[in-house]
Amino acid sequence: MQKSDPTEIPIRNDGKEKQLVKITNHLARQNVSLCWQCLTCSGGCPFADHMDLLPNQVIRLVQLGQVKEAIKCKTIWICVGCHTCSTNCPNSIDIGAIMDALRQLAIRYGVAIPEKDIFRFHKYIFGSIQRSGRLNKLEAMIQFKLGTGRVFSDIKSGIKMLNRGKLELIPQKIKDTGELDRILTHYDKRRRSFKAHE
Amino acid sequence: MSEINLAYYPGCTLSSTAKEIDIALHQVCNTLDIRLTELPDWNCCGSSSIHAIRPQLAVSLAARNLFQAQSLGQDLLVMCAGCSNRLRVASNRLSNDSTTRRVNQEILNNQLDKDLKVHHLLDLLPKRLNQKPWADALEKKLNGLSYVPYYGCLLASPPELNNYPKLYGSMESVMNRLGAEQRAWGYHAKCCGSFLSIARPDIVEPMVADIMNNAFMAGAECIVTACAMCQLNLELRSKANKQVPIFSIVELLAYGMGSSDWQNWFSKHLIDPLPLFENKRLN
Repeated sequence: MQKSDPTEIPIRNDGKEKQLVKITNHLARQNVSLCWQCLTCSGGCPFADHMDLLPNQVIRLVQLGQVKEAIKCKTIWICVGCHTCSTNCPNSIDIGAIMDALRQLAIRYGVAIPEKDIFRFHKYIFGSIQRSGRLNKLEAMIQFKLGTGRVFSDIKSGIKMLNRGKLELIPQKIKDTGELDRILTHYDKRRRSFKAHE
Repeated sequence: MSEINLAYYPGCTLSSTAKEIDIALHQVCNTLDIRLTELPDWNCCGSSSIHAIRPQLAVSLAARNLFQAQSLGQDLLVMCAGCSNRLRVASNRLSNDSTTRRVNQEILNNQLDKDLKVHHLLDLLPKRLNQKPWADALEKKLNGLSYVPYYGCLLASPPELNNYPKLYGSMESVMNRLGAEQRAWGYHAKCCGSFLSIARPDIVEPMVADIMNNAFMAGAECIVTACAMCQLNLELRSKANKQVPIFSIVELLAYGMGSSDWQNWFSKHLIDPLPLFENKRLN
């Protein structure tokens, strides 16, 4: 896959760069300036082929204060947090945690999410947990399939799993939903542009 | 040696897609005198998705479970690799980060006792199996079965969990006791593709093919894992002409301890392991 060249991303300065780097570092509990761009993270990433920016390039953008550019990329959504990069980093930077932070910022700033299906998947899982406190895979999968229009993919293995009793038809529900509601409302009050994506 | 009492968190996967692992785990713990009390009203740990989009919320979801274990007055046992990661991260943050502690105190009216431990079964197994009387608990062997151990990325754990013991070697030590033959390979901690298996199967299929291929090249007849998600991804996304059966370590251990249910569990697998067992004259 053709990688976009981060040197072609124009450096934009609007005076908020330092602040954004600080926020990213704070959310990730990391210090991006420790990165010396050795590319170990990108070399070992099992998903690198499918990313538009390599992990080290994402870190570089953050180092340069270009957080607003970094949060537009596919990479932060493709990253599943396997932490192969974080385990290999010679400077012990938890790159996976930086991806987590950038994903949060992407949602907060309401930028267009380039990996629609992945975001939809997360949303349906969230919906299922929101409703019953536990994840019902069948429910989330059906919603995902309908939402993406890929109704017939995986239908064979879906039936196989149903036959083997691996998918539950009746969702389990927790008893104390009041406590769950308290958790959900607390974070709902704090979120701003998450709704923009729904 | 005395028995151990632990609170038990099954999680959504072990209570649905991987029910057989839950049953096998109970049998193994019973034999090893580990008494499990299921959390009275556990909720989802947040899984990778909530962590991906709402990380602070994920910590609170996990915290609710930790507080339940705390009120039972017992340490917590988790078998699912994903859940154990999320619960451990939450426990670390609740102990070390004052903001997280304050926020969760506000929402759930509770504070975490620093002594609460979150165990994965693999932390306990090798030691327990080396002690009497449990060392003699293995009735049946897996002689002649060659395997590769597959921990996956979640059990390799993120740097944030460096305060927990690494699990490498624990599955090998159990399998060694069962008489199986380990094959060398370099894919112990390779990521199986995680949730992208559903959202972007085009990415995951080649990754799984690569793992399967290497199991073949290593000369293994099966892959042994401790992660239910790895097991499902490997079974679901591998091509029918090149795949080996995937076992959960607890299923095999329960088999070794003489459980009679193993055929029921194996028939739930998407890649049928029964022909391999027949071939090896294991019954």
